[in-house]
Amino acid sequence: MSDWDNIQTIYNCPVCGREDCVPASGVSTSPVLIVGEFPGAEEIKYGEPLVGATGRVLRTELAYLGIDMRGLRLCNLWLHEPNKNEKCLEYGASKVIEEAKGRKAILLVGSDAVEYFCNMKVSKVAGISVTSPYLSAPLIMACPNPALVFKGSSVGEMRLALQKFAKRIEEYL
Amino acid sequence: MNIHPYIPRDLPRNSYVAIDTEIFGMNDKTLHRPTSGKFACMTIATSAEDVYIMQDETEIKLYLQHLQDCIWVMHNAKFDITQLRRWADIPPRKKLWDTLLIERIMWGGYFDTFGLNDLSRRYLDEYLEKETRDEFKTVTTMDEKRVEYACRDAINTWRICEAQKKVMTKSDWKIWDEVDRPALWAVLDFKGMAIDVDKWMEIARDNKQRADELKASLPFNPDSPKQVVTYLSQRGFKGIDKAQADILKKLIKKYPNAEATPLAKAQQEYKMYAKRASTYGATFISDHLEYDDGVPTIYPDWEVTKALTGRMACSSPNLQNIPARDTKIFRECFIARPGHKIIVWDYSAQEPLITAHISQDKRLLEIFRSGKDVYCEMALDIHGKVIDKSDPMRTAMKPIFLGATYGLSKYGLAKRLECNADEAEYLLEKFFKKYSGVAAYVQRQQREKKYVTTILGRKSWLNSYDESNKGERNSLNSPIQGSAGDMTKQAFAKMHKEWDFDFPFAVVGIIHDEVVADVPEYAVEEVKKFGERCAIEVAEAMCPSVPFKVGTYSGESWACKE
Repeated sequence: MSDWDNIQTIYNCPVCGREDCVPASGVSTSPVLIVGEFPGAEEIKYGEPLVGATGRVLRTELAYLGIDMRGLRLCNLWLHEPNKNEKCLEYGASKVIEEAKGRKAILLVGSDAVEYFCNMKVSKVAGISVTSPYLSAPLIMACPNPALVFKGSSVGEMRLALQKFAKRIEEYL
Repeated sequence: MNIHPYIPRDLPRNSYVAIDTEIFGMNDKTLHRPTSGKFACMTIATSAEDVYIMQDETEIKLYLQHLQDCIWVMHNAKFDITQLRRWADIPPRKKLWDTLLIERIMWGGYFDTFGLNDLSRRYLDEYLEKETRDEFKTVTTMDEKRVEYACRDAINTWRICEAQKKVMTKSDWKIWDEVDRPALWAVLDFKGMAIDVDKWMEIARDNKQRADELKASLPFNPDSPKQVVTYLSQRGFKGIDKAQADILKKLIKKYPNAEATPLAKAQQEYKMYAKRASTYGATFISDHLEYDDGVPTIYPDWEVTKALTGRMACSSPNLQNIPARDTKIFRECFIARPGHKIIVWDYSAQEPLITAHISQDKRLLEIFRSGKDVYCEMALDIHGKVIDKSDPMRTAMKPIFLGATYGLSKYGLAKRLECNADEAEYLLEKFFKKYSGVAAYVQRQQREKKYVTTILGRKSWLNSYDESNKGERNSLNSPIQGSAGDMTKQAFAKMHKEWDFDFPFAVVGIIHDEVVADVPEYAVEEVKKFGERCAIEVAEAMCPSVPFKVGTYSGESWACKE
């Protein structure tokens, strides 16, 4: 049987008309939502968020912690690669807000997602609970972009944030 | 949080007390110096809830005396002790816990930042606001918010210490107890380096003038990569796509007779003078100059542990970057005080000796024990040639040795030796064949995925995701460079501990494997021997399988070494 929740249709951005939008994927009923920044080349190619470098590290680290990312809901702040059109960003954010409704826990991954939803720098709040004027869930947590480990960043900050998040969501999974 | 106005009289011996100092109106450029600002408050946390605030600078001495038998916990003790020494005599003490330095010992390479707010997030799951700190720059009185801020810092420092105690290992403690804490007290007593301001300014003017002349002589703007590429490509530098120094260097070698060659050389020369004029110009003096008993002096900010390998760092200004190989003129500006001489102690072949000890390579141990020159012996082992120290081939041996032990790729080595990659690969293979103990050590290190350690046990965490050569280099570099750093720290800390001359501790700087001091002329010979003994003793205790030598030099300036 197909997983009807995971079937997505590539669609255009209603603001700018771009055709390579990457919608949310994963289990639509999952209590946990992971919000990335924007789709990269691999995400666009496969039409799914968090399947590129960021997603690979996330998947590996979460697996170490006993969490299968396939059981979670995944989306990005931007539906396509960022441009200078504020309305595209707002549209992407509105889709995230829709996705966030009713979730128990939200992980904001990367500086763009954290700054947009919490108005805070990810370096100041990584690994701790945050609040957002846009999102409401019992737990919202921030995590640095895991792909930074390929660009000279140490792994500790990202790993600790994920460890703390994993521990907190145990009761929901 | 309970804020109290007075400290209790019955604090138990060896109880942990976190101390934090706030200063009003500090100069941003000299935060490491006790030269600006006015005392705002000292906060003392004695538990996770109780904190005492003291806002009268005349009582600092009394308070610190009262805390004498407690274990002082500070975050960046270098700052607090430097500032508190303005009002109270604080001699070196063992009962000190620096949450910043201890965090770096435990998690160097695992995390990138070590501020109190970072540690509050990690250990306490709390956001610690630091915005109020900026207010202290401009205000001169405490209000409720600032009191709350200062008290929170002390409370969180205390709580972080409690959390660190739970995860600290024996080897982390050993590094703190035997290396970093003694080094911290020594650093706190470093003197400034006297500087010949007129000479410095003359050099700065000359560099600026030379850069301007070269720029004016060139038919293109040497600061515009686009213009450099366009102009040189039209005059014989085929295939030039970037104006980077290494690319130009290659093309200069490839096309010695091209019209572009003298222009490229002039462009490179311009870049060198322009960089010197900007980095070592007038602002180097104006930003950092102090007068120590009327002597113009520079007091840099020495960090006990900053680099990934656990080595020291220097900033405001960075004396570790002062050019030394190409020219001595800058070092000549750092002079002895009147009636004094500069002494420089320098470990000879420190890192190769450490490599020999760590790897226990039989051939390397044999070379060092025989007292022969390692690079001359390498030339014999690799090329079958007998050379002396003046032979240019000896210079080429260094990158092979360092490259092999630091995981330099054949391409990296080829670049340094200016040969092709096949030749570099052959040299590396030959090296590892002759020095099989080093080869085995390198293989062992490459298998490490979590962290590597120095001889004394300082950890350097590795990034298992790093797909570049950097991760591998760190696993090879850190034990050797970090051990060298530990050794140098222990050497000057031992000097500090045993200093018994009739003048204050005279070390003025640490430049990698060099210790520099400024001592009265009458004591030069005695201090030279003393420093040499200290350096040798710590080295041989750390690496008992190899004999260490320390070069000791003295003269009018820091350039006395060569």
